[in-house]
Amino acid sequence: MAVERDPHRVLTQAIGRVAPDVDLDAIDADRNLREEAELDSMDLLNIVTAIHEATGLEIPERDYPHLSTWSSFIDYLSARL
Amino acid sequence: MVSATDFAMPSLGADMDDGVIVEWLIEPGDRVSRGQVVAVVETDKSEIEVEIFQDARVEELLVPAGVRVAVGTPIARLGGVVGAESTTAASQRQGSITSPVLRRLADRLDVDQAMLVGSGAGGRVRRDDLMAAVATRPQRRLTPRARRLAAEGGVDPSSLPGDSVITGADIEDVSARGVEVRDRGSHGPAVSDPVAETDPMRARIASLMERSWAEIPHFHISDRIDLTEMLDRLEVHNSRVGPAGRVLPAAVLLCAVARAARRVPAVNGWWIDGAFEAAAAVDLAVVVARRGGGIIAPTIGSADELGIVEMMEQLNGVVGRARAQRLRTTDTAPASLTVTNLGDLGAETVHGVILAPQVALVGFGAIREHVVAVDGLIGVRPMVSATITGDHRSFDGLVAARFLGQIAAEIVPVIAGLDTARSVSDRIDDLGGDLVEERR
Repeated sequence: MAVERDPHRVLTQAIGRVAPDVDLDAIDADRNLREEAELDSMDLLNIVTAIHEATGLEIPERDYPHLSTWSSFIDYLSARL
Repeated sequence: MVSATDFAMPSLGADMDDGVIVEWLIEPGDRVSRGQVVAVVETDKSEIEVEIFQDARVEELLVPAGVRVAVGTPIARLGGVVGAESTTAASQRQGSITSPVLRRLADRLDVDQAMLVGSGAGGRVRRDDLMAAVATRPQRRLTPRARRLAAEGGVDPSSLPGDSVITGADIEDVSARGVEVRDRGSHGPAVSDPVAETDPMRARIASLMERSWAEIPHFHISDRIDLTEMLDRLEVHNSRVGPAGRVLPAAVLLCAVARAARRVPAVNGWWIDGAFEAAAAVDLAVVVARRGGGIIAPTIGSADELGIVEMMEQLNGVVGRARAQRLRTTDTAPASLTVTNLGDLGAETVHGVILAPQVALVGFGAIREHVVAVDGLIGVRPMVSATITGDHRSFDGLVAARFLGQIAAEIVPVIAGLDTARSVSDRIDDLGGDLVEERR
């Protein structure tokens, strides 16, 4: 099975799995993602875990600042997937 | 002991009167085992995955999905029920409750202790045995008039003390003592608060908070706790393991609270009938905020006995189930102490409301960097504001302060089991990582 490489789909699926009640269409891509989607530290960890399981990409905690907005998260994934 | 028995609609929280079976996950003929989720039940709290507390064979489902039944109503018939031990041990299993907290729990749930079967060592009655007895106890017999009055008045017959046949007069007694909050919605359109009417969770929180605030003389003490060492060590641990093995500060704080409560038992228990009753185990309720509003406080049982990795798993489990509105029976067990953690997106300090009949609540704010004096110099340290909210009928500021100090002292020992020693190569890696970041 091919590993998903499209960063949009990877992130959408990870958030969908961890927080299915989040309305992704309502999120402003340039504002703080965790505030926009009401994600706490457990949610973020579970999203990072879901991405690891789906793609093999292991995001270290020290890279969390790169994940602050939807846009920066996508840029981060694009550079690594 | 092998027998046929009924599995009854369990009480999933003290304020539950009835529930709707949303879905059966078993069929007649299935073998079920202790701890298995057998049905999904909807209460006004959420959907709850109901677990079974013994090994058995399903003979018959007595209530179809979609039907609302009162707590205590038999919903499935089980055959070949066996305890966790072999049948030959039955004679010595004539249950003895050694734990005071279980004895009190048995009292509160109105379980006949002579009928309990202990599956623990030497016939000791465990929490699971108690829950099994509650789930399988026979329904109280009602006279036809009592049954009709109970249905009309919204009275739960299983909440009545004693074990004799319930008569109409018993039900009238209960009805005379006042109409409960939950009845407001069903008594016509004259409800002033549309939120309470449309959102059962809001109504439930409202009645819980109203009761706590009216009953409990709250007091608060708080202090900042320096988390530098804990966070440093967690950073090392988390950089060495994959995402699934990482530990969050919230789990460390929960462990620290549970262990501190064991050392300061005056904060861990219930105020019942004008006196404090200490709990034997630390069963922590964890306040979980739901996206879009509302809170649920599922219970993590015997939290003081959990290692940090287990705590992380438990926390992740209950938070996920609470958010998905799919708690399990064990998540709804009575708690002896509550923790509310605003998390890193929250405000700095929380002064919460105690969940009666508990006597204390521990609140953590967001972890933030503060300018502090360190060894006579000015330093910047990550700190968390911890608040003990206490029931002043039950204990005083001195005990609260001791509890707070104990929480601070337990934090670093909680993660002592993790490999967090920083090696020289880690430091070089850190440096290298920073250089790479800067070049990017």
